[in-house]
Amino acid sequence: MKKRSHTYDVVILGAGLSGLMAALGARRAGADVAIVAEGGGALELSSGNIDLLAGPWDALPDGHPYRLIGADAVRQGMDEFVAAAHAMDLPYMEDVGQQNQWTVTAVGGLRSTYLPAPGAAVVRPGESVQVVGFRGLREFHPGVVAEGLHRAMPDLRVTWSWADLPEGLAGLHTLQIARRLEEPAYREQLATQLRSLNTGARLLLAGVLGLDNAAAVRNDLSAALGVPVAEVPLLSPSLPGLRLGSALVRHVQRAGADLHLGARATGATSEDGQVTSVTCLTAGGSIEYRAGAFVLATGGLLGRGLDVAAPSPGIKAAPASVHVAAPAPARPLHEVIFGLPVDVPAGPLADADLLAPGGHAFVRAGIRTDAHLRPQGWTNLHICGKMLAGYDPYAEGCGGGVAIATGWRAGLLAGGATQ
Amino acid sequence: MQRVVVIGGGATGSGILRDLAMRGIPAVLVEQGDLVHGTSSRYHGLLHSGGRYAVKDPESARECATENAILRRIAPFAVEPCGGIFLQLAQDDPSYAARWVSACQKAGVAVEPVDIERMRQEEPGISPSAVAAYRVPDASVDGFRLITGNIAAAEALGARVLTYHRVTDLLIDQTRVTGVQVTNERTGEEETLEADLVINAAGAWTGQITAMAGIHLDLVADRGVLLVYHGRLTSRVINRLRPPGNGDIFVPAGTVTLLGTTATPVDNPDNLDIPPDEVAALLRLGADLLPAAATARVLRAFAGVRPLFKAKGAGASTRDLPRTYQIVDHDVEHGVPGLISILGGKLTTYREMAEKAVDVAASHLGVTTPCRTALEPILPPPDVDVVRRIQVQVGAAQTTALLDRHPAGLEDVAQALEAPTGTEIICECEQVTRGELVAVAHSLPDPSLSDIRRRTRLGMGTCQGAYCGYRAALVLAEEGLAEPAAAPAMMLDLQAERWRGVSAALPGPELRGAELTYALYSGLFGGTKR
Amino acid sequence: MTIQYDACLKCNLCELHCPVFRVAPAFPGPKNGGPGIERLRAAGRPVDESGLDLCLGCRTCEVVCPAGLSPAALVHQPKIDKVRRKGLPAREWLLAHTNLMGEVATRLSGVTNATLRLKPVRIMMENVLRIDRRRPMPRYARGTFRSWFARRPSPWRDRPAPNGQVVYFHGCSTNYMLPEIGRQTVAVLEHNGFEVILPPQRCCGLPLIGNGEIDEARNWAEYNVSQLRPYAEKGIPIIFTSTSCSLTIKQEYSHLLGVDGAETVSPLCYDLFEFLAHLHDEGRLRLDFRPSTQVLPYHQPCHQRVQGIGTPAVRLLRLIPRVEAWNMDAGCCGASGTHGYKREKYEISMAVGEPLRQAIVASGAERAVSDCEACRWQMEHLTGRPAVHPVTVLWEAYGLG
Repeated sequence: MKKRSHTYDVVILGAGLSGLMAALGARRAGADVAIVAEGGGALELSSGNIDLLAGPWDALPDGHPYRLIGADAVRQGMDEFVAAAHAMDLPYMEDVGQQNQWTVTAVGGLRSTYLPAPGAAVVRPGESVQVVGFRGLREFHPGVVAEGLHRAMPDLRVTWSWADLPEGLAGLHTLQIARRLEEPAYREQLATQLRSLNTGARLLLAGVLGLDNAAAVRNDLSAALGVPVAEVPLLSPSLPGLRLGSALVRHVQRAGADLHLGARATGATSEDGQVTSVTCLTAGGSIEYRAGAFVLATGGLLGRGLDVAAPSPGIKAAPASVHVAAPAPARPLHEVIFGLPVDVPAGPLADADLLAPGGHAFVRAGIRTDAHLRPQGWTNLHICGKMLAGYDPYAEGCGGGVAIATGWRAGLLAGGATQ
Repeated sequence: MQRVVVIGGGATGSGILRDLAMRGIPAVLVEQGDLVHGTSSRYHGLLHSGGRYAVKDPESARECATENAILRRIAPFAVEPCGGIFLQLAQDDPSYAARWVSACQKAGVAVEPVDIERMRQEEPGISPSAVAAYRVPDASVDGFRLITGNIAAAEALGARVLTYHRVTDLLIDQTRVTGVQVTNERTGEEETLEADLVINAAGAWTGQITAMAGIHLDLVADRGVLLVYHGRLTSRVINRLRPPGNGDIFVPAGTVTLLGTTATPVDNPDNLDIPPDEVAALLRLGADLLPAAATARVLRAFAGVRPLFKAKGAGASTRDLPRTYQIVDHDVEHGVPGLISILGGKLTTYREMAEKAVDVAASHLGVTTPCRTALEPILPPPDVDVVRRIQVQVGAAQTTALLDRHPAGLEDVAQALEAPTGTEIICECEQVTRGELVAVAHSLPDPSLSDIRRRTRLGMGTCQGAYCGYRAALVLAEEGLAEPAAAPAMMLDLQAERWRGVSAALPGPELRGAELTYALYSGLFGGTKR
Repeated sequence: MTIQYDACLKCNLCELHCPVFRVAPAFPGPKNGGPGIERLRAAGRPVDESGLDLCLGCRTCEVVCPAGLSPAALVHQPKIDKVRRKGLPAREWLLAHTNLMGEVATRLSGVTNATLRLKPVRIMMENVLRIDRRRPMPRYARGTFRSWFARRPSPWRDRPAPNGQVVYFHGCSTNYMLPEIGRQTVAVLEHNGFEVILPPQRCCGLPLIGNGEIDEARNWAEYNVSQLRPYAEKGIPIIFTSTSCSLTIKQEYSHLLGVDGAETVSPLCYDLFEFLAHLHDEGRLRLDFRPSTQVLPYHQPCHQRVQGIGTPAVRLLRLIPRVEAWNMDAGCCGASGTHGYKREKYEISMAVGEPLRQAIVASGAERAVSDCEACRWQMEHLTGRPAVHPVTVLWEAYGLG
């Protein structure tokens, strides 16, 4: 028995949204696919809404991932996502006019998004809505939401009130409440209360309406109350994000991709610009993954695909005196597996304003690629999602879109599809 | 009706207020921000043994040695008696150690040499290049708790405190100072407070106050940067055994570790900028003492401004300026009666500074009651029954934390915990309950999340307020302690304050935490319509 | 020490995926119960450790953590400390000494099995030992797997096995309760040209480790390593059919127990299907399967997922023509070895396994598949439908029955 080694057509490094879409793309191209990841992705931290682009397409700079792959590829990736979502019983839907829609945030803000999560609270001017919070759920205050909405969309008619969680539940975690709401009897008790409070307007409730059976919970409540019921995602956890993440992971495996979780990629071997293998550390020791093509979807800083550069050894032994002025390190970030050069915008890494409209330099850091998502000098390595340089998913409102479109594209390319 | 107005709600001012109250002198304290707004909350948290000053500033060393023992006795609720060491590294001047030991002995600073291998076992993180170690009675002190303890003690004796009241002018009748004019920063209203005497304990702002009486002092605002590490890198204070310089002190402070500091003169005491090169210098210098400091996670950086004064014949660098203090009776010095100022000083010696200042004040006011601030504990021990009630609600472990955080005001905390949702955890990192949050919020007029943070440690842990700031704002709205419409802004204010410190410490492992915070808050707030 | 919690961002992913946290509010969860309180401990603050022992040890938190931390290890430590101070309680001692129970019970399997089904006996066990009466006790086999192996003649007595030797670490459940798994494993390995060697072995020690008794586990581990090491040094693979045994010997023997020589053994340890998948990658796996139209929903044991080897059983079962196999990925089954038997954990165990129950039922399949015996027993208890080891499916497909 030789050293432990697995061989696939395509190995995808990272199991976040872009990695999972890459797996679907590679499977569509007919490849034998493994997803190798240290942990799960960050979908569970997101609202579950898929942001395509908040601003105008024409304002995108040349190096932006959307420009790299082109509008057609973006369209294709989004269509594939919607199809996959429907196959997972998560009916993500575009607006009829293919416009962004306004979704409600937990502070009553309005966030523009392209594909709201199924059941997400979407509002339009002139509508009437009633926000109801549950006493005992500390993550959601209906008055705060209502006040925020009132300021953000003055011609939206908003009222709000409190309800109590049945059985006097208090101090429970969002997940625990969501699980209880999957029980019909518990739900019925809640519906009774809501019925007595409801003004007849559409209901906006906290995002705790079930875990994997969310559609049933929502539909059941809507039917019981006679008004549509929608959810506002909470800060953390955001259940719509969790639902999408769990469903997508299952769907990808159902589509035939092998998921290797708990495997941390530590290095790679290559020859003439071709990656030949990636080495991973697991609980049982080292495993080598060989493939014809690799996709790097390791999620940037949060996913630890990018990490802070270790200080160079020389610096530690500085002499004892004073206040030595030192230049900031030229490359504060490094790419963990292949040692690819990381493009970091010049200037301070972080803007002084947390929510600066221009975003932060450290978020824009990543790997520069050609139109085939390959870094310079490599022929069988494709980069997707947060590992790409040149965009700020949060400031630009394009996180989901970039992950999906570049993931799908990278998977197709790695799988050998010519277009 | 007050006889004295004290300007400044830091260590010195709060010590003065307590001393005045104990001597039966009615007084009111005004502070431009929240309590401990200034230097007292922006420093190492070191209760000096005096070792640091033994060679260059023996007077200051002696003061520290004496007061160190006193504060441990009167303020156990604020002092973590972790002890400290002075560590000599191979690259440091070997002849300094002998001079230092002898200077410590002369100044009354207790020094005990310890075998370096033994110290390595006790403190495995110290540098491999460490060659000698000496134990000293350094300790870690929570400035905020110390000062709020003094304030609580003073208020219990009838003193008044007005936070967020900024002094805009001194009231002057011919040459005499007769009081202060203040602006309520919250409402914009102006108010005058008349008194027989004004004691100027404004720390780094002392010169701005005296200027209102036309007196210009030779003061220097000296800014230093400090880093806060996420974990406990050391179990005791670690000083570098060489002439005082930058980046040569580590202080454990509860769940975090502080590393400091630098020294840069600035033009005004509100300059709290954090130059990146000073952060980088601290990381390098700190790693000399504790190699792990080079790569361990720095949560945030912050700056504080030291109030220094130029003694006659002082050298060029601010490091050479004395760390001792001076009481200036402006009647005597400048022909301006009714005003006393305190210059310089250290938090460790605040009580003595206060005693001397109040001695001067008392002699002017004709009060002969002696000072007892060193003799009596600042606060009485907690009521046993209240402690038991708290323990029933939150268990033994959390009770200890609550006793530390609220040496005064425990009854309110106990009551709030006994409410139906009182034991719900709002800040998981520091275990702050809803009851504690509500009790503290009730005790303050129109509190901001930062005011609450200072008193409860909410937002000072791993997540730096990302989750708990959000929850706390919603809870305050639910409890009627804040308007629902104001809650989002409260969250953003806390995040902005935390971000200032987090972004100043980048690059570093905290980049990941920074991205997480950014992702969460742009999800809540970002996306164009606000 | 700092390393174990320093990198925690409070991203909440561990808490979101923890199967116990969402059903048991008394459990603080991996984030708070792990790096959260470790940070406070490091500061010398007293901490509240109540509720931590509700952890099922599935290590999902470890698998999903983007910072590479193991909240599970931090949560487990207080249990280890408590056992050091106070020893193992009687019930835990009984449940953890599977070896001992097995030796006795297989000799009296008829009586044992019948007795353990008697309601008054179960009520007494619940009252005295707090072993939940609702949890079916596994049935002991009439003879052990080892006694079968010792009796039967080796197929390689006249010629050497073409693919060489492998060692089989069968584990307690195979030996005392499910010897057919062992027989099928031997048959499949022999079919693929391997000679199976059965060195003396003890229980891997996981039930002891799971209940906090590290020192005794180390004694057993030292014995097992002494038996396995000579083979590992010769490069002979060591095959496991029980995923808890494979994880324990692959990782815990060196990382947690610090057994000398464990690091020599570990690289040669393979879960059976991990081994067969490598064989297939090398083109050496026999593919003479009989086509069989089957719908096989697969459940990956938590202790296999932690090993980072993917889902090799799914990969290989798909090689059988007309088989539809997929990983249900429906979370932890809830059994967690000995924990699911305990009165105070039974309801949590069943609540944790509810999504898996729904997934199996929704699949419409006649039987489900999993490599871990505790998972299979739990799946059967949850759904009333049979669950088989993937080796059984392979054995059938090879026509070895």
